[in-house]
Amino acid sequence: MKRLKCSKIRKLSADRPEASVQLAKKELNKLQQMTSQSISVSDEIEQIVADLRRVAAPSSEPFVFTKKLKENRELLGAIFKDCGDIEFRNFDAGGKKALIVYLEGMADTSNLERNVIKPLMSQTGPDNPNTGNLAEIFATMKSISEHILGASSVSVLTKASAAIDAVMTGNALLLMDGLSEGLSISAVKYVKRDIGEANNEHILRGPNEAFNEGLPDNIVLVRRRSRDTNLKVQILKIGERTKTSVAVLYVANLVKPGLVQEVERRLGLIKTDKILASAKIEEFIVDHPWSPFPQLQTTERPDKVLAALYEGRVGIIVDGTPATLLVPCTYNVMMQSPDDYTIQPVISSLIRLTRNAAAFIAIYLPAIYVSVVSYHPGMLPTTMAISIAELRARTPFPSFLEAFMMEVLLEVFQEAIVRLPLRLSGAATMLGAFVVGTTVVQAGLINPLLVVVVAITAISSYSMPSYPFNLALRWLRIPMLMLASILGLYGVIIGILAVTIHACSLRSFGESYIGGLFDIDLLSDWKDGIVRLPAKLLKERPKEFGAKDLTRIGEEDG
Amino acid sequence: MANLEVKKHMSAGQLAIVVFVTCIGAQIMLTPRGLIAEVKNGAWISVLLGGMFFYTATYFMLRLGKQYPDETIVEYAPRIFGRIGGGIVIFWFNLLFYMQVITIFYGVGRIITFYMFDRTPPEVVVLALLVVCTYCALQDWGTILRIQQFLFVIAYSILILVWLTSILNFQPENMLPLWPLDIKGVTLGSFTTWGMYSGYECVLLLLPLVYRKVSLAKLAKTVGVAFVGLSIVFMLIIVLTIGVLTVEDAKNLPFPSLIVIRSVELPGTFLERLENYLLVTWIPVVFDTLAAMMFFMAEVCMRQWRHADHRPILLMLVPIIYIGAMLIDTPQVNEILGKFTMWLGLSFSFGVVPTALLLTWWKKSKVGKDCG
Repeated sequence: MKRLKCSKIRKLSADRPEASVQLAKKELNKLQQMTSQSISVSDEIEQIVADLRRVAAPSSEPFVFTKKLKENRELLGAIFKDCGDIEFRNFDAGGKKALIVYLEGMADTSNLERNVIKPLMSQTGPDNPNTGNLAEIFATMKSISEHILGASSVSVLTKASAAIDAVMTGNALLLMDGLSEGLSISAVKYVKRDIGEANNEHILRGPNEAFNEGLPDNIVLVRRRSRDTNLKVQILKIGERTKTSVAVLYVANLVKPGLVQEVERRLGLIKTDKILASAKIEEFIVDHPWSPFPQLQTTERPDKVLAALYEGRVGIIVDGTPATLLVPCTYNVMMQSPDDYTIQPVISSLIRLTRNAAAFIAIYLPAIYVSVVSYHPGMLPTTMAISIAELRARTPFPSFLEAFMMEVLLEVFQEAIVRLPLRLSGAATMLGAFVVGTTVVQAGLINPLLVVVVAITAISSYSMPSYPFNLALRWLRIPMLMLASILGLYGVIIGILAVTIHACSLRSFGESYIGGLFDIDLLSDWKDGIVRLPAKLLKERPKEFGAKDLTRIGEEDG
Repeated sequence: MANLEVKKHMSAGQLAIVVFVTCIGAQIMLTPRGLIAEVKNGAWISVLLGGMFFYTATYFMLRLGKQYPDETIVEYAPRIFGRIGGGIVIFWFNLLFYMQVITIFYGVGRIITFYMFDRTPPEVVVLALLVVCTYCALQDWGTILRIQQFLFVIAYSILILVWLTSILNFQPENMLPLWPLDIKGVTLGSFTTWGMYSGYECVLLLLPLVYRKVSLAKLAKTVGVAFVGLSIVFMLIIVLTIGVLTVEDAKNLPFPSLIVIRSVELPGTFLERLENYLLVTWIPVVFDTLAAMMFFMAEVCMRQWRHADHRPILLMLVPIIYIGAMLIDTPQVNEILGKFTMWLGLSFSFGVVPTALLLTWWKKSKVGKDCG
């Protein structure tokens, strides 16, 4: 006791050096350093992995199926963790444990029940002498599919990634105890829009069916119009995460050699996380993404797709998008409408010529107005020049500024009308027409002739059969206005030449965008180009797209 | 990547169009005055004779090209004339294009400034055209060929249509005497038309694109059609200029063709001051010629220096062209340069090319004898 009282209170570190605070701090620092180093190493590794992969998301095999159903279920459970819409249905089949996995809402459960679960459950155990070779049947997934299942389309899967894809597509996945493979059973049934009329491509006569968002429906709409076995459909998956189905359609004995391969090559190079619309694919596969001109034709109409396929072109249908892509695309096809083939050839030719003139007006008219008014009034008749001068004297702005303001206003109105709900768009149109058409002129801000010029320009651009082409024309107006304001008509001509050079230099899958228009080697294409001759005279397919068989109307096969 | 661009070759018709659009350029506005002053009423005969002369020169070129079906003059000139001699011929060939390009730029700058923008310096006008020509010449030949065909249909048809309106002021008696007695003057004057027809030299560069597909006879016939077209257009310009203005007036005006069209009046119509419309349609025609020639210059340099791409060379040539065009500051200098270029071109077409052809035949016959 005495010794205890006398003894000093000693630090713990005196007896146990490893327990000192200093040392603890030191070790803690080391730990902190290691942690921060490990974070930076982890970042670097992630960067290296990303650089090596160069894909938006991993697509490697997540796991390998085993023969134990319980393990397979756990592995799938881990993959589909927190996916409340994934159904796991356990049952007995032929004395074995079985599991069926499907996405609720996308899989047709009544079909599964009738053609898969019921037939499998009705099989008795292998010990039953009446069952004969049941053990043999249940030895492989292939024999199960051949002997028991009533589903129309099944496929044996050995890879887990394929099995997961199948489930996510809407198919059912069947797993059996003792088998390290799965069975994908086609049972897709999902909510979709009915096949209706085309929203953006109305025609007066002819079919009005349009694509919807479902890929199988869209393929059927094309297939239904042709019983040609040369009409081929290749399905690809694009989008590292969305794995969107994309169908490539072509007529095998017509399409230019190499075109389909090139389309598939470009589609295969798309490494992005998601594909939600065909427009996204368009951006990835066009030759000149910076050009304002659309280089892929977009359509909602199956008849248009089929007509294009029989010209030797290739169609690209994207799951979830009604807008189908057609390649190659040239200026000529942009200026054609299905209506051209439902009216008299003479009238159709006249309409096509008018459309070409409208395309010219849609780009250049405001620029020509500005240049003539500002630089070359002498080109106008004297009386007209005087009246324009009088009108312009009442407005405070130079002609370029007036035209520029009108263009901006026009763009704003167009955007507003497109974006507004249908009930409000009428009001916006009225307001726009009233304010611009009347008040701005009465207020002396804008020359009334310019209002007429801009209105004609806008109407001309609306007459384009293709909306993306209309947008390109709208876009080009502003640089043309600037050139006109700097160099007058000379500037306009320089601008026209620049646009011509650009359009001739554009290639859409090997075809020149506008250069083929007056190519003397393609003179026969004029029959269905700027004009349209009667169907009897359209004996050849367009040479432009390099179709292997140019004969369209010939003698019957012997 | 699949080669979907199957149009690697030209047809004979396309070559004819290229010859046509390369020949018709600024000279349709610039040359008539000098020719009319020199030959007077017989200018239209000189134009036709010139067409025949320069078609003959082109035929020599086609025959020469036939001897080397896969090569341009840049490749075979050193084999014919030796390394140094070949180098001089190639330089000569390219100098021809250069001289024409700078005189055309100068002429265009003057005309546009004179008639459209009297307060704008010609440098600005030339620069704008140079930019757009460079943009075109930077493209591949396939694109340029398409542009030429496009403008061949659009620009030339409108130009000829506008030009034909001057028929309204045509006085047939101004053409008299229709058949002048000075045959020697008319014949010599036909060589002056070189400025109008020049550009046909491009066949020496373009033949490899055509020869494997087309025979010499067909090519000669098709290019002949191009020359017939050229002769008709040039004759139309000369005849209408004299017919509207008379010889005396035409030779005293700087740009008689524009005065011809300015004098046309279409009462009661929307169109007035037609010279602006003519100029507007003439600019694409000039552009066509200039862009093609700039491309040819870059192509010759590219082949000579064994480069794979003509674009960097073209971009190097652009300031040289601009400076060259700006250095011509008076009509007198322009006239001297024009004459120098003409003699350079004539001696190339009727001296160098026939010599090259004779040398090639001689060498080939020698090779045959040695083998035998």
